[in-house]
Amino acid sequence: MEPGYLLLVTSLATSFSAFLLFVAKKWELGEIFLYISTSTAFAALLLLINYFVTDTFSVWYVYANSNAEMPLLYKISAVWAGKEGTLLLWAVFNLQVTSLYINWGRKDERKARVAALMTLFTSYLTANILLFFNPFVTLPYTPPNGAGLNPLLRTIEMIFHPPVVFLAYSLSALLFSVTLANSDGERTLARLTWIFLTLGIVIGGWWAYRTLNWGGFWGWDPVENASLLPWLTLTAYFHITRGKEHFAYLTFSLVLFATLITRSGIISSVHSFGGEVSDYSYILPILVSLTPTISKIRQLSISSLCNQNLPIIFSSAAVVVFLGTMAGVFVTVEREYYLITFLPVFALITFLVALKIRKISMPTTLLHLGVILLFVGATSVWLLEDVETITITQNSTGDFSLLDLRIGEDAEKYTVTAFIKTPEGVATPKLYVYKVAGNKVVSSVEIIPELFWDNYYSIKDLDWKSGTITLEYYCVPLINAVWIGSALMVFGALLRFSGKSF
Amino acid sequence: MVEKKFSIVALIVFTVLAIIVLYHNISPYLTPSELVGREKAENVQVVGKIVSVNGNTFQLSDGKCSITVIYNGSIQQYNTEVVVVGNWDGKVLQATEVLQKCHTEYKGG
Repeated sequence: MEPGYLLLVTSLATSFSAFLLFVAKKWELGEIFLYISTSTAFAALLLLINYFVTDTFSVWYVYANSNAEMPLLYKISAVWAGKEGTLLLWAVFNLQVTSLYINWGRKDERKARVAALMTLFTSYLTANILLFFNPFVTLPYTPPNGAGLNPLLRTIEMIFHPPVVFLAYSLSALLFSVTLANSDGERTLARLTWIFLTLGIVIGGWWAYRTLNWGGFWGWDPVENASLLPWLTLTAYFHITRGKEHFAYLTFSLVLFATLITRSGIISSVHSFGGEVSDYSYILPILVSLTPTISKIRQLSISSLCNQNLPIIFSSAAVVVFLGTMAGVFVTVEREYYLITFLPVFALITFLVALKIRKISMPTTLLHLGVILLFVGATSVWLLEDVETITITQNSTGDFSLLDLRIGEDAEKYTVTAFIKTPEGVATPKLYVYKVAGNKVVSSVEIIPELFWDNYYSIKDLDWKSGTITLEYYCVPLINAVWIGSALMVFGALLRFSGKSF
Repeated sequence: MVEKKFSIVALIVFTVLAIIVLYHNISPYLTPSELVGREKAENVQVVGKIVSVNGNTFQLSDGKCSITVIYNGSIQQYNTEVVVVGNWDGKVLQATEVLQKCHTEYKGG
């Protein structure tokens, strides 16, 4: 049997044993089993990385996502290019954060309860890997080369995006367990989860802006929406005094909901992997994770929710995003829906932030300044972005003309570089024509930044015979405010760890 | 207490408003970028602009993505959006009908 599969079976057996032992109050033994499970799952991940690095194409998952000519970094990031690898990554992170958490401070009964919940959830994930998403399936022969990584994922951002997102997901599971077990460190965990969730969303937006050629960082794509939902409830968590545990529970339920949306492909989006029935296995943990919310719904007095306006406002934002996402299952939801409903709520939040900004500590002030900048940037991109289609040849006169077309070739692809005279200087958008990975043509944008806007060029169409190029030109106003605002938010949140409240 | 009730009422009113706005901003039509994510889809209505015509195939684009459409009939490159009815096999859309979108009315074309 494939050694990786064996490692995963061991990890499942030990994590489930650990769960039983924690429940039976045999804590010390449970802890040992937890560590065995963590080590074996991590070993399985390292083995999978090793298969990618050494081009072991007899493993189907390696064959499907990699090829020999890829740079080393992309071979590693190809590990999390599919469902199998990301699920494994999630299980490993779950076990690692749990192992770290129980060694943080005094070990007591509440920590054991946290470990029990986490090992149970991880067992469910690992069982899913073994049954439906085994990354160690081997082919009966060894193909000479792999099919190659999806060209859209061959970017620096995609090396970091999935690990950051799944670390955030593991932390949100831990936050859920810690809250339910009434254990220590809730606030620190909530902050850590928030930082990684934010980073995950921002890296995703940055990738979309630079890779997807439509001049935007946020397309109200169902998967983007689904990632925004737990972020909204977790942000609300920090702005509520009583009844905050409900927002911790809800955040994890929404994380699972996001996983379901992303993987099942019930709503098509840039992320869809193509759905299978087994992807609906997330429905069970979603329902289970809702039980504390539902069972304690009576304790959730209306007065605790409403003692400030903010929880209501955040809930409104979450409601509109949720409604739009669910409607997306059946029909196409126009962008205007989100602009009409979400933007006013966002404006209200920003207004309240601006009112209170002087009354808070320095790190929190930075974070909130980030929110204001993000609002300014996002609003101007959403409302004021300008797009123009430009068709040019070498004989074009006027602001734009085609100076030169050059073709380069490497082991994987042809690169067509267009040298275009623009009012801002020479722009060089490119087209990559891949020989691997299904002969995909990927357009690479050229962004000429100015202080207050980005000049964003992408090639839409290229006609060799007549030497005509169709360009799409976007003038993206104040996009820098989005990036600087997001960076300030994360930076401010990080700074808060330096204070005493940690 | 009055204030608390006000918050709840505000949330409900807002939700109702959101649903009304949502109702006015949905369309049964798919866009090319939504279609490329799907493996197969039969009898779909895809909305987009014809960007280039080549024989009896043309490119339909929504600005983000473009797909290849095969259509046995005369195609004219309109400057407005069209609705293409047909079957999607994962690579090309076999069109059965191409409709010109004209504000709220649709004409055969």
